[in-house]
Amino acid sequence: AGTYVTNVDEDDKLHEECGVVGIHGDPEASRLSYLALHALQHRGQEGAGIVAANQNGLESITGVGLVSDVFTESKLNNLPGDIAIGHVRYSTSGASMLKNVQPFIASCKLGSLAVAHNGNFVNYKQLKTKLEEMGSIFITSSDTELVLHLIAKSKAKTFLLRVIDACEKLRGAYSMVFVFEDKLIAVRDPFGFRPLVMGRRSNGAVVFASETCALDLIDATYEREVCPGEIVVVDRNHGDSSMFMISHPEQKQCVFEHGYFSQPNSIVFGRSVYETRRMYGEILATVAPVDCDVVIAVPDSGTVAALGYAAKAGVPFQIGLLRSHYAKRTFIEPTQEIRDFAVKVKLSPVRAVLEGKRVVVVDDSIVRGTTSLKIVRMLRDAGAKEVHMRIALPPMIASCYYGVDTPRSQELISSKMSVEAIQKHINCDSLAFLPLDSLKGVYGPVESHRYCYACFTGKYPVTKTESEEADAS
Amino acid sequence: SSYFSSPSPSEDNSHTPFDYHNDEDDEKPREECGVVGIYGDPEASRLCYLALHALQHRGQEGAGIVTVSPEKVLQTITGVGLVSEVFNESKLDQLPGEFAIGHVRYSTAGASMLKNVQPFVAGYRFGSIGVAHNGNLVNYKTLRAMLEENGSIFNTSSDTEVVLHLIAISKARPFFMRIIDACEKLQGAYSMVFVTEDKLVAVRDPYGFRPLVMGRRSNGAVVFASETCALDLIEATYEREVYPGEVLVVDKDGVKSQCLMPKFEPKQCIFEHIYFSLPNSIVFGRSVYESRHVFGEILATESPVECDVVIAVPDSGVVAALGYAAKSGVPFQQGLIRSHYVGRTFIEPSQKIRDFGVKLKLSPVRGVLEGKRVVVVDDSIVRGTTSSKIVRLLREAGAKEVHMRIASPPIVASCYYGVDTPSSEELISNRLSVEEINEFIGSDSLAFLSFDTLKKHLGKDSKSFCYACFTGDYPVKPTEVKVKRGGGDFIDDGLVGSFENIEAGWVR
Repeated sequence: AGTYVTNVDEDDKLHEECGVVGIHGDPEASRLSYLALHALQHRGQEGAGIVAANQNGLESITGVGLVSDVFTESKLNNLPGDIAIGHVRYSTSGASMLKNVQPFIASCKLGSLAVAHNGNFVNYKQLKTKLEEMGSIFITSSDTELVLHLIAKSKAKTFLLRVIDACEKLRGAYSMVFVFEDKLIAVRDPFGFRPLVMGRRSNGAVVFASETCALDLIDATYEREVCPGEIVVVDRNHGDSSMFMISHPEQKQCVFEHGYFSQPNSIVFGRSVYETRRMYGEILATVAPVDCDVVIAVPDSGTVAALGYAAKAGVPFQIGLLRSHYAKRTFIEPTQEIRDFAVKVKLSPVRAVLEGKRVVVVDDSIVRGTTSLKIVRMLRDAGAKEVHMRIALPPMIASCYYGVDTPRSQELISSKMSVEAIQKHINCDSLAFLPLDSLKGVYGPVESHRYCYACFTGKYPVTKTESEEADAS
Repeated sequence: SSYFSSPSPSEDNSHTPFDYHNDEDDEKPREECGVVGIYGDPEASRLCYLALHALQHRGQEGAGIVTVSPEKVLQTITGVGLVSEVFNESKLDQLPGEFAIGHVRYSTAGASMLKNVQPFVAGYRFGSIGVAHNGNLVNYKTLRAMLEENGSIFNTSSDTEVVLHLIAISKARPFFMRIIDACEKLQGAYSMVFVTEDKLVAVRDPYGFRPLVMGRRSNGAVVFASETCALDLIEATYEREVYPGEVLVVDKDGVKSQCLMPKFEPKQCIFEHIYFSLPNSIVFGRSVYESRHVFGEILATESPVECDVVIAVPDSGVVAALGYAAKSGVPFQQGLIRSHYVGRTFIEPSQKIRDFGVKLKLSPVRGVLEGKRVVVVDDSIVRGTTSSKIVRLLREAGAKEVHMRIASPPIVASCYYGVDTPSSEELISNRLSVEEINEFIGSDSLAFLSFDTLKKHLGKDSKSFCYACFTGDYPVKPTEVKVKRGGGDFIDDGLVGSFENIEAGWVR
């Protein structure tokens, strides 16, 4: 038998599908975009791109791979200008990778424009069909391309009005940045599914980014969130101005941004990710206590909740699992099976922490359950006497259509098994999830209504029509 | 490993505006190698590759594997970069055979990188031999001069190459006696694996400076590796350490053990427990995790301070910080998040972003720090530049007080046994008192793990460790003192680089 390549990363975790950046009014806009994209690398590792606006119009460089793989100094020198937008992308597609890397540029009768998008349009197929009937052609399989066509087709008089016109036809999730002439425009969908924040550098430059961690790296002070349904326009003559789409439904921000996707040091939806995640862990310790000797985490995203759990339970937190920082997405595997190889190459148990102990292991979520099964086995092999798994979010029972690459609902273990059945499947001594009511309790009665819980309830704020075929961006 | 291990560019060395060098290179001691040897497994090269991956933290700049093919030919693949960059499936397919040795390397050398990547292979009158080495030979120059005087030629600037020459000229019989003969001429640190047409040999120097362990797979294959974490990944059960001064020969007749003469008291590198090895490894027979946790606990006992939260400089400071927090009864929080996507060099904006290098790698969590009295635990301070940036980063994120606790004694002297350390005069603890360092880095208080307590904790084993970097007392006297210089290996390789570098290098 020949060898084969294991995709170790794709196995059992959700993936954010994009990060976006926009900068207006800094002579080093593209360089700062590059750094800001680097700070958002956790939101996408498969492709990166930057578009800069200068006297030659819009210039673009995109590529497959990490930000540091795609850009070099000489490439950034080819992107002069004081306005830039950038994008990082995660995708499971292979062959079509490069053409789908944003930002996208298009020319229309008003001039050239570029867009970078985080989210997913659930009515992509309908709109695409209609546009193709009207003569539009599509070069990519990305739903984002739709926006460019809608803007080009719009009858509205100014670029800004065309953007509004286009957005009001879109349904689903979008946090987008556009660059057009001397303007930078940031748009967030009325539900506010995906994050988008605004910051400012000491030289007055305005910065938009998916998360505040990108502002921090480039010395931009966090100013505020872009509000759901808001369109912010920054230009040279008038500074920044804001307007809102007419439709103003209740917000439905993605709770997984707090639970898993965003960096702990970011402020997302106006809240510290770290503090929120820690509270998930504390509540879990209250609702699902168990006698144990040590609390550990599945690194890295489970660590903060585990610290919360340990503090509330009064049990020591230890580093029971180490993560390798050199494991690539694909790895050459021996033909003789090494049991649980895909997990072993990324995670190593610390026997000194585990041997003879009753262990609580905290993770942020269970998707298919395959990784959890291997982790439990790894912990037992390293000498753990008991393994109690605690999941710092409710059971995921439904797929996401708003910009998160999720398996189909029927592949989610919680959609087909009870907690007890999952516990038996992954072979832990006990298993508990953060209850949905407790999750809402973290946010309180007013704020809790501003979040989307579709993946835990199957109730979608935007009807999912034919969205599975879109290649979300 | 290189005898002339080069510190990275010093503070006063100018660099081009757009070429930022990874800040970590300036500020942490650097292990210089990891080694692997496998005997008796049909997939030796593949397992070797995986084991090297598990040792990637010991070297990220070069990797290589040598196997012995069924036709008894030694075959080599080496390259610059991470293990996963150097090897792919088709390359590993070019390395069939049941035994293999491998090496990962860190070096500050640039142009001369590839030729210095081990394992090295040489042919001599009795066949071929490959070697991979972790350590540093302090009498390298003397031996090289003697060998060249007698007609040997050198292809690399690596000290490891002298071993091959010494084996080739040895009059001893049989093969393993040649190795013993060669090793008994060496002074310094060496954990080495050799491979010949039919044997795997593992050797550890009489002082045992660098680690080397032995394991076995369920199919009987014998594995040697720098750390047990490499055994774990390839499902080899840890059997024991290769003892200081031991020579192990593995062939179809099994494993045989010999000893080098003369015997010395072991002097194992304490920094393997402080910083270099992975926490899940057992090094020198002790759990690295437990050592670090205890160092943190001791620090909390010796140097308590009123505080609200304990944080770590990730990743190597985390375990000690957990120990400190547990002993002091103050919560541990993740106050600094490390980025895992930073490459070694990074493009920097021409407008200076203050403390850019540190900000690129570490992000403060304001929610943990704001308004708090913070204890931040790190494993060591070398030049002090990173510590001062971290303190500033924490204050800017709202910390009310910053108390720095270092889970090792002050480093006052350079290492000559396989750790890339700056010259002694560049070490901040060599020049300044604790109070002065505290002032320099801007912390509210600073304390180190005390040397006496460290030794007391090690108990009866304390004499088996090398403390040269904390005391300046070298078990093997270095014959070439390191000097501060501009960087690069150009002294070894001839005149490479700018005139400024040349001048900087030659001025002593």
